[in-house]
Amino acid sequence: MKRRTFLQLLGASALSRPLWGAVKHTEQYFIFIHAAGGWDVTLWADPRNERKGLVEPASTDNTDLTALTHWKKVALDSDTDTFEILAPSDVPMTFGPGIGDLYDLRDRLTIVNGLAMNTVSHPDGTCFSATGRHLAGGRAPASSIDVAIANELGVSQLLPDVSIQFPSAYIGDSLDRRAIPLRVPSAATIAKSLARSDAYFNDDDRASITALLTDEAHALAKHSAFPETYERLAAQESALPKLLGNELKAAFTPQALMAAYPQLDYKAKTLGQGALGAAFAVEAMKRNLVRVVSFALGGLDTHNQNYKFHAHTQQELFGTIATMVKLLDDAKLSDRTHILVFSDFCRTPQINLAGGRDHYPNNSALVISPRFKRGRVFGKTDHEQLLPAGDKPLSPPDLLATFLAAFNIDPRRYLRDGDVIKDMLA
Amino acid sequence: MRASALVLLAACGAGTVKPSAPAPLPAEHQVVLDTTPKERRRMLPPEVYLRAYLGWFGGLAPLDVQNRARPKGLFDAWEDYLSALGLPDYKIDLPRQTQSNTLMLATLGRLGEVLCVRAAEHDLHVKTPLDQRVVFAFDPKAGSLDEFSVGFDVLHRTFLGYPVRLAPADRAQKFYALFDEVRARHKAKNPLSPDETAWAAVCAALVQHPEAELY
Amino acid sequence: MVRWIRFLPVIALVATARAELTLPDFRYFRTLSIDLQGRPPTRDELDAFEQSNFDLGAWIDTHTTGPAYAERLERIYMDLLRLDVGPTFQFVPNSLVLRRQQVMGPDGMPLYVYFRRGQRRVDPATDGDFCLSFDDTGMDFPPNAAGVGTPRPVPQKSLDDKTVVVKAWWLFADYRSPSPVDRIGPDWKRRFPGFEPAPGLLEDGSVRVCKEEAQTAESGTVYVSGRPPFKKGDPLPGHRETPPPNDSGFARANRGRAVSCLTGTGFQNSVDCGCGVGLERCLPGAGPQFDPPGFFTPTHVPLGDALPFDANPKNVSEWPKLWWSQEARRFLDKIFEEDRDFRELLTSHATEVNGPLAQFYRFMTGATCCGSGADAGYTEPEPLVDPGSLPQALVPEDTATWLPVADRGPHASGILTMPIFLTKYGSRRARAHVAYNAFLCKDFVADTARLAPSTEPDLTKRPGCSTCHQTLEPMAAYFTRIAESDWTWLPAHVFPMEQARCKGDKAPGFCKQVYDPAFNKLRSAYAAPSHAEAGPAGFAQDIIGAPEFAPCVVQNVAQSFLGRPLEPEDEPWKVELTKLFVDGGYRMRPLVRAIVTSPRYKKGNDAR
Repeated sequence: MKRRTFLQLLGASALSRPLWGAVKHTEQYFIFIHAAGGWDVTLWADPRNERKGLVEPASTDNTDLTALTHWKKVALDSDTDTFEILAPSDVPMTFGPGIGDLYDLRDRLTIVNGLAMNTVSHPDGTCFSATGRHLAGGRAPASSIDVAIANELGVSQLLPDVSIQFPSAYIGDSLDRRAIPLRVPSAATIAKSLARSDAYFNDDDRASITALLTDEAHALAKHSAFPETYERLAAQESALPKLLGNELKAAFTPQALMAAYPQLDYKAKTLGQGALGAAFAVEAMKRNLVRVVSFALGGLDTHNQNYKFHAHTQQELFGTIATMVKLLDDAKLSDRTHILVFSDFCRTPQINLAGGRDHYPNNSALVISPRFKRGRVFGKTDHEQLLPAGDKPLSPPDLLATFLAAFNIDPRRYLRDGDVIKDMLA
Repeated sequence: MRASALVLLAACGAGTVKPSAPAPLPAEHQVVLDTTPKERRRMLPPEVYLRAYLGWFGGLAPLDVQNRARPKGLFDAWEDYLSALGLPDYKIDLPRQTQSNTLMLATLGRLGEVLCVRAAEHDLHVKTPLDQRVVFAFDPKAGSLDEFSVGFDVLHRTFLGYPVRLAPADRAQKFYALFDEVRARHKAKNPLSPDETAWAAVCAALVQHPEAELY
Repeated sequence: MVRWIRFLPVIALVATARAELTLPDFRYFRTLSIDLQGRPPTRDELDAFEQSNFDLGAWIDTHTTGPAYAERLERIYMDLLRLDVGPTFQFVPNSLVLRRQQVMGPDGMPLYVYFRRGQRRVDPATDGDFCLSFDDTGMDFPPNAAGVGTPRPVPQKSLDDKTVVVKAWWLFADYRSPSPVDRIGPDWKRRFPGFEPAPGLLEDGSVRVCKEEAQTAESGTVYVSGRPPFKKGDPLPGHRETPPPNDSGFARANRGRAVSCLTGTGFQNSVDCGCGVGLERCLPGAGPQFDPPGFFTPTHVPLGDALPFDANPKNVSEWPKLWWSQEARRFLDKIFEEDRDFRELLTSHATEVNGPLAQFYRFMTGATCCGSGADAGYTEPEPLVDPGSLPQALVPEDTATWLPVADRGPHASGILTMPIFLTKYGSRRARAHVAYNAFLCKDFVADTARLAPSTEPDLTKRPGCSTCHQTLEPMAAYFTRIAESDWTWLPAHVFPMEQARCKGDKAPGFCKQVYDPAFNKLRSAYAAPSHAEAGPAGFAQDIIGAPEFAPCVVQNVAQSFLGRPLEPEDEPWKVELTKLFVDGGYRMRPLVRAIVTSPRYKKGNDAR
């Protein structure tokens, strides 16, 4: 079979499914959040409040306590106070004060500690967490988790994967082109690109233009040695009319999102933009337009005096997530929305000379999904050096493999490494 | 090995063995040779698109284009579109997007519309002299396919970089059909004449054409 | 023979142009135009291309030069190096930022007064803080926030005693003259395109500033207040919200000694140090915030700073960061436009500066020096760029005029010692890592090794770490003498590789900052002390001398022009190109020419 013919068939089969709506979809939604910069796990998931080995806990020496809702003082030494570890009786979990409002949803959380990162480079840690592979030649060698999910479960949606500053990677030729992530700097810009003026052209004009361009793309595909480029353009062109409706544009302006979801803190000092991403995710899922929304929330790379506000930034981060979960509850979507939150790596257990914490090759991650065992912690670190402990420490590929397996997706299609940890699954 | 065995036999045996054509060796296993061409079509880098776009707007600076484009809700601000076009952001290590997605096409569509509408206003509506027109540098008469093809060739060269005579044979016809449709739809002058609106539509379709958006 | 073959494709191309042109010919010309002119061809250019006398070879020769060609190559390396810093890196040293508070003037009208947080003053009620107190204004002034309280008119005498009106550099281009008259006006848009203070900075007609900040001396004397060190619970003098600065150990040991006002040390320890003539050593902010609004600073400049795609007032810290990034881009452009030896990217002493960069190099680079290094006797940093080499004619407003600096100084080494590189890649390891990626096309790929707890400080030996760090640590050592997330040079005569007084438990405070107690050596030097002395220039030589360097350049450029990774079957071609590149003196033009005239490139974008 000639390559061209084979590819045409492949393209045809990918497109034989209608673009959205009619196909029975899984009705599951996914939110991936990159907490950019590297978080201090001793402040939320793997709390430490004692000086032991390398560990210097957060204290009044290095942390601004203003507005930290879960910081209850205990003495660290004669001059300094640290925080009391939150140890609720209803779940076998402990938390630090950074957990913020997510503490109220603790019975729905799955935390993974002691993730072996083997890196302390931002881009490499980010890539490892998102794709299960380290960078190769400065580039991601595998697709990211949001693309994998979009490819498997999302191509029937109008917007399979919206990526707002998230480290999405679409790698390889075997993925459905519709799963190429829509990358935008913020949710606000989506509406602007969808806007159209009625002063000159009307919707029928645009429909005619789109039809012509789709036809041209198909015609070019027939003569091309690489028809998939043109088929991809044709598919994307034909999806445009649905996107360009004014209803969508109006729903996704920042003002509309803020009015629809006033519960989110858009004025949060560090993560105000992230609140908009969360609002977009909820609205897009309510309208069944997306399968995956991924976004990044930053401000955690605190190497120096800015570490004073790290706990506060975490509180904002988890507060945004908690509010988003509650909004999904209200929309009756939370039983089929699955959230994964990760960071580049964690921060050193020691405080450095500038009063901050540097990068460290350990990590924690958070899953909020009914397909995972909830109110549980998996993985651990040693007491003195905060390094992954146990006979076989977990690593990001294991978590990603388990996540994919939770949805009956063969992890080997996307991950070279990683074992499914069945014990994590509900 | 075989040759030396033959020589040995020849040396040992009586008489001469006539040489015969070597038989093909039996295959042991298949080796797949990848002879497919490695070249691919790729998207125009956003910097190239932006530079071309400013040129099509008469060589204006970006903020001047923004000001000219904005009336009647045709344009917001460049910063609303740049990331969707695939531009990298080195400040936050956001890499360049080399593959298209629906939002990118929507953004290119928005930019294409404003370019063509403003060009139609400037070149056709106010009847700018021919030598001062950037886009519609032709007589816009389009009473027939032949008349249309003259102007279409100018636009085809502008946005696709080659004459329409080398395009697929039915391309001019397809675009003339678009022209006719849009012209018929816009009977009244609002704010461009039907012909002007139709030319703007042809322009918008060409500037969003795959051959314009790809390398 | 070889030379003739090299020209064969060009001869073939010229022959085709004379015959009937085909679609592949037009596509090829379009691709060439996109790559070498930065845009598709215009209709006029297509008309010329169709003429029988069109010489494509000559066209290629003409267009492997010029700003668009340079930008094409610059894009390759900017994508690799990403030389721009975002909000994660904050450059807001107190000595550089003039914040302002609003008070009530003697006439009952609002009045802005500029000040520096941390400015030393003799009055303990205002030392290190805003110069007007509660008694003067009726307001308290929390750190980085507007005044709170019931404002009352500041007495004229207080205003006269404690503040002064200055003709500031951002409002007067001739601020250095005895009577400045060249005030900001509409013609500045033409004279100084790209320079526009935030609206708040233009609200008042004059710049009233605390008197200490208006001082112009280049050096002052170390001041000791004599106050006992402040302890928690001690009463605060005046109506202060925060305690006044304690006398530092350096101050007590060096009372009355001369200190440079162009350094952080001078700012922190002298009441004589101000913002200089016309406040030229400082950047103005229209507010009391930590990072107040300063100038209209474009966020998006994909086609260069002369063609910004947005214009919004930004925080004052964005202003120097923009120009750091533009300096690197111009540096790259110059190498490509002038077809210089590509290795100069890592080795050159030269650069180009405009007004804001000249201001930065002349007055601002010392602001981050010297911290606890002052206790080691380091109070005047070796400058990043020798001020004598800076063009004198550039005023800080002149963003558009770029002038060459032939020799930045003895430590300069291409982009490796530019502020944008040193801040984007703040740690020494990060600096080494990115160069390893971008110039040797190699990466550190971690083993799936289990990291067991270990007390081994030497990462080149530590299990699980050594695979990568055996290579990375010696490379990072080249940057030992440049402070992390900064550009401050740590000279050998102040900071020898080993410092006797930094050994043992009673080491002075600066030791922990600069020396690693695990190895009793300068931090980051342990794996290769000789590399520390060789510095970034030594690193540059190491990189350009590596056998991977030239093939990596070829690979990066070829992949970018072809739009795909090189495959194994491209290897002979890559070898040929590498030889061409090296034999051509590491110049890009022959390499680019060979690529764009190759059948691979020509077929690369053909749909058929």
